[in-house]
Amino acid sequence: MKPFKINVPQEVLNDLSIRLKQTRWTDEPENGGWDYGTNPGYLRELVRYWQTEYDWRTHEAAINQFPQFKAEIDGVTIHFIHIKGQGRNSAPLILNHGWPDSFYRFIKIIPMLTEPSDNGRSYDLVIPSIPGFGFSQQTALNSDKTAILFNKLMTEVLGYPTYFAAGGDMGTLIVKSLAVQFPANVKAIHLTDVGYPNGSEDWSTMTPAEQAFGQQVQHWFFTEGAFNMIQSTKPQTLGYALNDSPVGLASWIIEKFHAWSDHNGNPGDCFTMDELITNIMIYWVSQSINSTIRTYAENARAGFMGGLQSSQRVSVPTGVSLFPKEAQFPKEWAERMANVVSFRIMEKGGHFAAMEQPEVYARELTSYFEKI
Amino acid sequence: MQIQHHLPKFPLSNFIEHIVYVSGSLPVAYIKELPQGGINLVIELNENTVNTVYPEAGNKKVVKNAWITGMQKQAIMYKNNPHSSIISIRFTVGGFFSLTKIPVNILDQVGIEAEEVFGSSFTRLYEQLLNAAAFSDRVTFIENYFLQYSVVENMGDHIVRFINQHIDQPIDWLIQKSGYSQKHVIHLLKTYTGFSPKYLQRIHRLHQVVAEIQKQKDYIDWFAIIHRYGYFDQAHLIKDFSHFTGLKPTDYLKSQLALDENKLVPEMILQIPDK
Repeated sequence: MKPFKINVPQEVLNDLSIRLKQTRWTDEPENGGWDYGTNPGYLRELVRYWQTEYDWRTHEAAINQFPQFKAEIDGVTIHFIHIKGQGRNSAPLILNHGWPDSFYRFIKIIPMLTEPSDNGRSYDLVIPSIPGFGFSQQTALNSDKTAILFNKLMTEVLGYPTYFAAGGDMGTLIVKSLAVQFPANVKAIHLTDVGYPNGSEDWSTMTPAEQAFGQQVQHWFFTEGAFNMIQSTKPQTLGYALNDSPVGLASWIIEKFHAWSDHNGNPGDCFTMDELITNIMIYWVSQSINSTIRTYAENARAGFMGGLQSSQRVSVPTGVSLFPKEAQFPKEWAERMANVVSFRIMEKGGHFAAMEQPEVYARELTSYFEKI
Repeated sequence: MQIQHHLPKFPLSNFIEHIVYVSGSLPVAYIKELPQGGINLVIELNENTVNTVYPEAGNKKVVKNAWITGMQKQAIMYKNNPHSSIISIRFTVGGFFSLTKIPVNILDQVGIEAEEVFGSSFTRLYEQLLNAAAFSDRVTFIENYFLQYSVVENMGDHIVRFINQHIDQPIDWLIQKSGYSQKHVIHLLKTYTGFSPKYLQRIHRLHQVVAEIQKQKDYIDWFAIIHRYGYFDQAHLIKDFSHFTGLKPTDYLKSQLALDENKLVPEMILQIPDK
């Protein structure tokens, strides 16, 4: 384990600037909005901002304020933030991001969790980049293998015999897999989504609410889920374009931030341009988009070949906070997936709750884990 | 320079990766061969030619006729010989032990005479090779020679091959999939290859970087390579690369740009840059 700081060579930034300038824009349907995919007007504005106002060095320095490390675990190099809580009583907590975000998802909640609460409680935060993502080694692994590495990161590299785990999206798969594979180490988990019906359930045992949710998810797959299908089947076909064109990459990522967050038509209500672009930059400068989308294929293949531990029911105590722009699963479904001891419906926020509603999300984590 | 390649068919393909014939020469003083994780048997067809091998550590060695490269922990340097026709038989990772059952730990030095290892049967093969005219005839003699060994595989052979095929995966997962204990898997790999799983991973990583450099020689994004293959930073990439090749990655790139023939023998460095 060695201290690490991001330091992107200037040539990479110069090259990006040239590519943005030389963008070959596509034609655009009239008044298409977001109906055909990424909104042309929005994307053009984002690219204009990226070229003329955005400054990577500012954000690089801001991220580098937090102590980052790299550790080689089982031959795979993992990048992570590790920051100790300042309270008298600080509990280890691993935060797991998903796709298309990055470790950057949790940047805003770091101070909220490391500064002590009134009763002196805080958290020792560990925020890794999933293998294949950002500054971790670009080895695409399924969530079970990632969980094995992350458990070693917590127990062997950092020396926490027991810990809490939280996350969403692909982070949910990793957190669930941690809880199923290492129940002796994982004291409790917190999730913002709990997994989705995949066709292997026995629908006759599902409540009407669960069945309705299953139908919604099926509908979602046909209207919104194509990205998932291609990433699960032929990611390489897509990878060349996304790794070669910053505008293409931004378009692929931004559409998800638009679709999955809680706003009135403008993602700017939830995220600043700088936040959105910094997240894209983490993919661009590390050239990791291809290995990140390949993790979907790794999960799909493991799913076909005997299933993933992350799809088993979790027996360790689980807290769930359901944000309104998340797929609205009923409590019964959450209970089917995990040993739910806390189920809370939120008023505002979406899939990237830690970025959109950092205070609310941080409070959800602290109030839940304090009860454990 | 003339180069001919032959890929053995099953079942020999389980043990031998390729057979390559190289003749003619290049205007260079030394050539280097990168470590591949597997053992190499080199046969000099020019009976009177003496070859000189320079291991990374230790003294140079003079070899004739045919020799085994050893486990090849690092790149091997040869004095380039203008009067040389060579057949190189590259065993798969673990393939040499799998086929011959000759313990690899006796091959820890670079350049061991093949006759010392295989005995007089090899002398007969060598004579056959000298008398044959065509590459295809020579390949047949070599294949028949090695097909005399039993090609029936046991569990150990399968596990070593599985691990090598998935060497980019976490070691713990490889061990878990093997069904053996960690100690046993490490012992198995050491017996078959002479290397630990970790060392095989490092060799694999080296070859990924080498392939990346060979693919795009005009513009290389070193920053992306560092993250792609999990190096801590540029210094670590350089250190690891130098450990195996004796060259910095940028010097290796120069060597690749120097001669077109490099494309034909990707595992060789034909033009070693001046230090």
